[in-house]
Amino acid sequence: MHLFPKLNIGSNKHQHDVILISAADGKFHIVNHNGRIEKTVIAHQGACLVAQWSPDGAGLLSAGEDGFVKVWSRNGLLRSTIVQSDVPCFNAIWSSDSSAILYTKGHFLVIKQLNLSNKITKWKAHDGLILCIAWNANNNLIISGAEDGYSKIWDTFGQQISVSVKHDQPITSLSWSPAGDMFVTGSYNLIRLCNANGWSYCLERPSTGSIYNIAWSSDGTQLAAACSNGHVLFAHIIDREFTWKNFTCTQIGRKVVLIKDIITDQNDKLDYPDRVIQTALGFNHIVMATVKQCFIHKLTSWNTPVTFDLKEGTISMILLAERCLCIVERAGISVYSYMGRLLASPRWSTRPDALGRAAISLGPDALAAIDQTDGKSVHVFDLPTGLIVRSSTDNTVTKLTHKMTVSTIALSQTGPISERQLALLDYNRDLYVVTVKDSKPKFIKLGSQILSIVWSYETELLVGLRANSIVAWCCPRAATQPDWLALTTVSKEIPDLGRNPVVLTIEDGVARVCRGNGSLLHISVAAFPEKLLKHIAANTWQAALQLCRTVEDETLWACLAVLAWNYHQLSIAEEAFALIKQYHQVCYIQHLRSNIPEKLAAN
Amino acid sequence: MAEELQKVHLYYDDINKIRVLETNVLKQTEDLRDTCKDYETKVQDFLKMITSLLDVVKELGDNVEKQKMSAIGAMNHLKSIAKERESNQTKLQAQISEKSMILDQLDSEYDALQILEATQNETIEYLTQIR
Repeated sequence: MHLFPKLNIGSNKHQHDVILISAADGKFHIVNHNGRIEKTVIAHQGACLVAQWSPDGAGLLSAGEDGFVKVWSRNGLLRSTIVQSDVPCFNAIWSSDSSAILYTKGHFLVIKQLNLSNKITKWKAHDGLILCIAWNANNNLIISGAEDGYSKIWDTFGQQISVSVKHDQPITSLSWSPAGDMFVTGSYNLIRLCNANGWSYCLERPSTGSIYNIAWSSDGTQLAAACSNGHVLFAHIIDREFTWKNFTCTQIGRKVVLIKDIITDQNDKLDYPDRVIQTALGFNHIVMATVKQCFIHKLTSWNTPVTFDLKEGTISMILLAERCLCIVERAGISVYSYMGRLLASPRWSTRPDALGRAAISLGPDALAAIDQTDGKSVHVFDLPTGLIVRSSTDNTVTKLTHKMTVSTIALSQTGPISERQLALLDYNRDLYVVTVKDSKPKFIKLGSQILSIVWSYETELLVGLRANSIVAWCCPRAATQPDWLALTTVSKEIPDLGRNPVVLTIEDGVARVCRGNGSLLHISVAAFPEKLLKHIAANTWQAALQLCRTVEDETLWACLAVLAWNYHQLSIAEEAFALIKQYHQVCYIQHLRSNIPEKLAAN
Repeated sequence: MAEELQKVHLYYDDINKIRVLETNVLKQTEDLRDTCKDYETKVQDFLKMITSLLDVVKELGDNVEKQKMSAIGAMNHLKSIAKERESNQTKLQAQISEKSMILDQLDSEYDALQILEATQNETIEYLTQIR
C-alpha cells in the first residue's frame, strides 16, 4: 500500500474550483471545491506522477510510471496517448497556448507539438535524472532541474540560456513567477530566488528538508513551498528597489516602503494596510498597488496619497507616463490620471495577465500593445488627455501591422500626439520606428541585432543595446535619409555585457544598463545631443545653436541640421549642413531661401 | 553380661548408659557430624562471598556498559560535529560565493560609475576651458 500520493493541483479557469489530484495507484481524481470526488479515472499502470489542466481549460494531461503521457478531455475521457516509452515519465507540462507538451525522458527534455504529430524537439539537458521542469507563459522559457544539482534555462528550441551554480543536492522543485522575470528553485534545505537571466537574487537555507513543490501567488509577490518535513513554507519578495532621478524607493517589508531623497537625505517610511504588490516610480510620482487599493504619491508631498480601489487584487504591472498611469490587472487594463481618475480601459481580445513588460508600452497620450493572437500587429490606443474624458468606447485605435512577429515595443514619451512614434523590435532583433499617426505608417529600419530599446522620457532620444555596444539614435523620426541616420547616431563600445543585457533608462544622456550578471552600468552616451534635443523641444533654437558652436561635435551638428530642416529653421539648417559637409543640401536650402521667400516669412 | 549384650549389638558407654553403637563408632559419627556442620557453615560463607562478588561484578558490568554507551555517544557527537562543521562550511562557502558575486556586480557598477565621473569631469573641464 502506498498511501502518499503526489499532489499536483491546477485549478481550472472556467470551472474555478476544480482540483485535479494524481495518485500513486495510477488514478487521477477530479475533486470539486467542497471536497467531493467528482470523477476518478484509472489512467496508468503504476503511479500517476503528473496531472495538469491545460492553460485554456479544455483538457488535462497525465503522465505515469508506465511511460505514457495521455491527454484527457475535461470530463476525464481519454482523448489521445501522446507518448509511449519504456522509462517512467516524471514530468510533463503544457505550453502556455496548450498547443504543445514538454515532457522529460531520463536525461532528455522533449517538446511535442500536439497539432503536428511528427514535430518533436528533443535535447539532452542534464547529466542526471530531470526532476522538475517549468515553462513560463510570458517569456516562453523553460527551466529544468535535475539530480546533478544544476538548474538550466532553455528556450523552446532547446538552446541553453544559462546554467545555475552547482548545488550539492538535487534540485527538487522549480517555479517561474507569473511575470517571468524571476524563478525559484528548491533543493535539500535550500531555496533560491533567481533572475530570469539565471543569476541569483538571494539564497535561504531553511532546515525543512527537501522542498517538493513551489507555487507562486498570481501577483508574483509571495510563494508557498511544500517541504519534506511536513511544513509549508511561505515567502515574500522584499527589497525590490526603484530609482528615479534623486529618489530611491525600497520595499523593506511586506507592507513597508522606504523612500529616500538622496540630495536632501530625507527619508520616510510608508506603511500600508495591506501587502504591497507592485511599485512604480517615475515622472514625479510613486505608485503603489496593494491587494485592495492603489496609492499615488506625489514626490513633492508623499504623505498625502491619492487613493482608489482596485477591481481585483492581482495587479501584474504598473506603467507610468508623463500624464497618466496604466494598471494591468487580470480583469483588464485601465488607465488612470495621476489624480486617480479612470481615463480609459482599452479592451481587445487578450489575457492581460499574460502580457509581458515588452509587449505593452505607455506614452503620455497613447497605449500600445502587441496583439497576443497575431504577434505581427500592434494596437495603439489614443488616450483621452486634458479635461475632456471620453467614454471608453470611442477611443480611437490604430492598428499597425509589421511583416514579422513583434517582440518588443516602446512608445516615445514626448512631443505632440501627431508625432507619436513607436519603436519596435521584431523576431529577428531588427529595430524599426514608425510614426503612429501617419496615414500610411512607414516602418523605418534603424538597425539590426538590437537586444533592448528605451526612449528617453524627456526627449526623442532612442537608445538601443547591441551585444557589445550601446547605440543612441538622436532623431529617429527625422532621419529619413540613410546618411542622415548614420550621422545622427552615436555608438559606444561596451565590453563584456554578458547575456541578455537590458537598457533600463536614459536620462540626460546617461544610460542605465543592466548587464547579464545583474550589475548596473551607467554609461554616458549622448549627453550633448540630449541637451540639444531639450533645447529644440523648448523651441530655443538660439540656445541650441550656441551649444553646437561651443561643443563643435559633428554628430551634434548633424542632429541640429536634421532637426532644423524638419522644423523649417532654414538658416540654422544651412549653417549646420555646411558644417557637416552636406553641401548639396546647403545649395538646396539657399535655392529655397532665395526662391520661396513667402514660405520663409510664414515660419 | 557385656559380651552377651555385645552379641545383640548393644553396648555400654562410659557412664553405663546402654547404646546401640560402639563407643568409638559413636565418637567417629559425632566427629563426622561436627565436621559436616563446619563444612556447611563454610559453604554458606562461600556462597555469601560469591553473591557479593557477583554483585560487585554486576555493578562493574553496569558501569562498563554505561561508560561504553557514553563513549559511543561522545563518538557520535564528535562525528556529527565534524559533519555539522562540514555542512556549515559548505553553507558559508555558498554564502561567500553569493557575496562575492554581489561584490563582483557592485565592483563593475563602481567601475562604470567611475568612468562616468571621469567623462563628466572631462566634459566640465573642456567646457570651462572654452569659456
